[in-house]
Amino acid sequence: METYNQHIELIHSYLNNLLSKEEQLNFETKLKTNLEFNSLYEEHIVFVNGLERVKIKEDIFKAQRAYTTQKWIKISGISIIVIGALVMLYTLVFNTSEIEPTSNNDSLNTILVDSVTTKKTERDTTIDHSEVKTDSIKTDSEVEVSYTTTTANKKFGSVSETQVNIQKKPQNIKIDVTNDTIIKCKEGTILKIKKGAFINPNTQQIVTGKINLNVTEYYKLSDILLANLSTVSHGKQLETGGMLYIEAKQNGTALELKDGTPIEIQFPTTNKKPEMQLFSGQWSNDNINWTLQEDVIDDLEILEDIVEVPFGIVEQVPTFPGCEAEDNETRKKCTKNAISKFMSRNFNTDIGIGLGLSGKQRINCIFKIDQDGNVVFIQTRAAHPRLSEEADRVLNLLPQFNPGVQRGKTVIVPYALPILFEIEGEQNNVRQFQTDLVAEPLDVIQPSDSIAVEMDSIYTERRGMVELIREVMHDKDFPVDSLFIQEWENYKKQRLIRQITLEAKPNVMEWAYVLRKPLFEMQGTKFKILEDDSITRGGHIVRVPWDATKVPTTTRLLRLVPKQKFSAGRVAVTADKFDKLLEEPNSDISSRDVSYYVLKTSNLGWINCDRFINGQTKRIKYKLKIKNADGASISMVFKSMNSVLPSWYTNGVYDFQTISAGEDVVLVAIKRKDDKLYYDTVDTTTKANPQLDFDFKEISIGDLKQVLETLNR
Amino acid sequence: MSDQDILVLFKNGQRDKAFKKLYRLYPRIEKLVLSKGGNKADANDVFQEALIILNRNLETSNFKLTSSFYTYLYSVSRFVWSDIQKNLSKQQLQQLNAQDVEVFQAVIEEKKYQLAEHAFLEIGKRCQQLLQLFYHKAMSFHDIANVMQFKSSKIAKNQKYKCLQKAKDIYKTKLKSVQS
Repeated sequence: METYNQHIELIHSYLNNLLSKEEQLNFETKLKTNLEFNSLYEEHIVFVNGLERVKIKEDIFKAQRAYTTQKWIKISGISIIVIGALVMLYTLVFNTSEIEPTSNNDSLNTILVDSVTTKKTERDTTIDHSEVKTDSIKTDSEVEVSYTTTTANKKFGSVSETQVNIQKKPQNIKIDVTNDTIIKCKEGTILKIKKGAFINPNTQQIVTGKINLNVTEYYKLSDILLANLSTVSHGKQLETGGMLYIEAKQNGTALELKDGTPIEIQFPTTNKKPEMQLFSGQWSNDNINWTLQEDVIDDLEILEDIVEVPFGIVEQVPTFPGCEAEDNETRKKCTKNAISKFMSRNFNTDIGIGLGLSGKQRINCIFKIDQDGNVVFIQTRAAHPRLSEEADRVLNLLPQFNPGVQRGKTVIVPYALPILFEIEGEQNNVRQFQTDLVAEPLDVIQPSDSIAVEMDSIYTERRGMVELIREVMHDKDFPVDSLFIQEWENYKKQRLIRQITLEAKPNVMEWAYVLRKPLFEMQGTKFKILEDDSITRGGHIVRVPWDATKVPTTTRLLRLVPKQKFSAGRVAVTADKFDKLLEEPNSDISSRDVSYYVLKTSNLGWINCDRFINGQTKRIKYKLKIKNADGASISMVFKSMNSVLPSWYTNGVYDFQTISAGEDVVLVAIKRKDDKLYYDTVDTTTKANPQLDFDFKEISIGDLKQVLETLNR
Repeated sequence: MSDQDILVLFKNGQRDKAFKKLYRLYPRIEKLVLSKGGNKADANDVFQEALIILNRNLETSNFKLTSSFYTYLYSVSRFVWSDIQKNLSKQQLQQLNAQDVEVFQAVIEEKKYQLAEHAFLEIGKRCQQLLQLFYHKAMSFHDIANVMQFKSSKIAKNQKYKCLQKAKDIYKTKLKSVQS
């Protein structure tokens, strides 16, 4: 592949006359002798020319449009003149005929004949004119047609008035598109819109001024079901991270997004899963079908949004106060030295005495310098807790930095700092202190080959609560009683014990439990970490340190980093700001833990943040026969994930097509008959040839909403 | 506006303006296609193709326009249309004079590029933009990274490679289906 790239580059330089004479000759002989190279050369020429065609066609298209508009202007101009002239002529004739009502019949007749003929020509020209008009109307209606197909959404019968009640109301947001805008919607979706992002599809002009944005968020199962949404892409099941319906209007005209200025959408999530992608929805046969938004570059742009740049490669390093030199290298050096000096000046090495330690000590510290230049996310590891405590203390004393800058934006810069010093025996307290300057401190931990997991320990999940806790505790005989389980659940609620998802193999998710550091620090939990890193609870040693064989068998390297204490979305904020955000009534930070899927869309309309489910379970065909269905709509809601499957109704049979067997699901049936709503749900596990009956109960819309809300997780 | 003026427009890189002027010749070409059994849409396609071929030839240094634009476009259009109809007999081919042969070759050559063009249309807009910037605006990867907001020129380079590769794959499958 490398040589292939080189070849392409060589050909490119040759075609652009970038080669020296000698190289040119070499190239030409190579063309003659190397057959493979020759064919590559030919192929490349075909490509460059093909690409050029795209460009030329654009120009031609522009020219054509200019030409036709000019033509129409001419024609309509001429016809207006002709009509004007005819009207004048007509009124002239009419007036003269009125003025001379008593003149003899002969002359009047001739005048009348005359006027008839002129009328006729007039009609001709107007016909011509109306042709122009119908042409423009045609294009208009085309736009309308495609528009309605994307929005039309009707399943609960034909009564549109009640349908409005059942549908979720969109949020109407007025924005000014002459500036960059960031919108936070009610349920936490964040939209980032660049200025000039919208165009008017009729004129292809960029829209300026105020526009109306209608956004409807579908995160809750109840909302999803009431809107009759489902998560299927061409027959493949999806798991959703949130759906949106976005519509932009200015003075009643639906707007479109301009090419090259996509909207960035952040979908809030409590439980981040990999491989989320954006899909666009289209309604067909009362069910929505999601199609992957194709743009190969999108995935890479997600990487771009990580606003953390390692110290070694950031364009402008964050600087220690006093290190503001011109040159980045100088600043880098100065800052590194300043941090080291600061550490050695303030670190109290006396702490090391009396801990039973001797010899070389190493404290690994990682911290981040945030966009405001503050030192945050300090984490330290040392042979003894007292040592890391001391390192924590000193790092907290660091002054405010000038933040690092990458591509004109301030960014978070992580910094790794090993502190090395020596304790030479207990008697003679000779200490040497040194903080080492590791060449590129963070090269070791590249985000690409390891996931950052915020935790102290990882435990993979097994079936059953008791077994799980025993596994976590590394103790087969750990006494687990109901009281303990209650406590455990409580800690989970407080997020001191947290479930996370790991990707063990590509597309295979595994759950793992994490005991968080605050759990050990909190009073009353009875959890304690001993100095040898084992955990106790009420005197019972419940965890021994991991050894190599016990490390979870995931293919990816797991890295322990501290939990971002104060984060709103992906942005780290100060503690004060975070508290304020929490107090804000509209803020969703409290209800949704703050992690987001960041994706970009180049389309409006129905948008879905999803991933494909590649289960390895048995696939079965699932069909339901229901007698008293009367055209009810039945959806299948999965308990293990955010996924809703639609059914297709034919001849009394509800077809869910192929699904995986053994899944716990809820079947939700909603029926509308004689302006009344009927409803039933059935909990079941999917298996072949299901025998189920629905007992439809009448329900009001309000109650239906409430019942569906109980399905929300 | 004379042919000479239009040529100057082409030389100054004001291609779109030149095309606009040349569109005045369109009604006559349309008549030709209509008389040979095509419809208006066909005429549009044929004329577009003729303009592309003209533009390409003007860009090669050894090309000289020996006749008026109209004559040239007319003969190119004639060949494009016959080629679409596939009704050029062997006998007719043998009777072509040297100038016609040249035009005919240009038409055949262009067909290859057409296939590549379709491949590019399928790779997505950002890919297209990236390749355009690189091959026709001759921008450096550094500038491309700035314009298209890539993190680094390396990513831009990598993406360019991926996009080109994708286009080539599509092209190859298309070529196969055409040949078979």
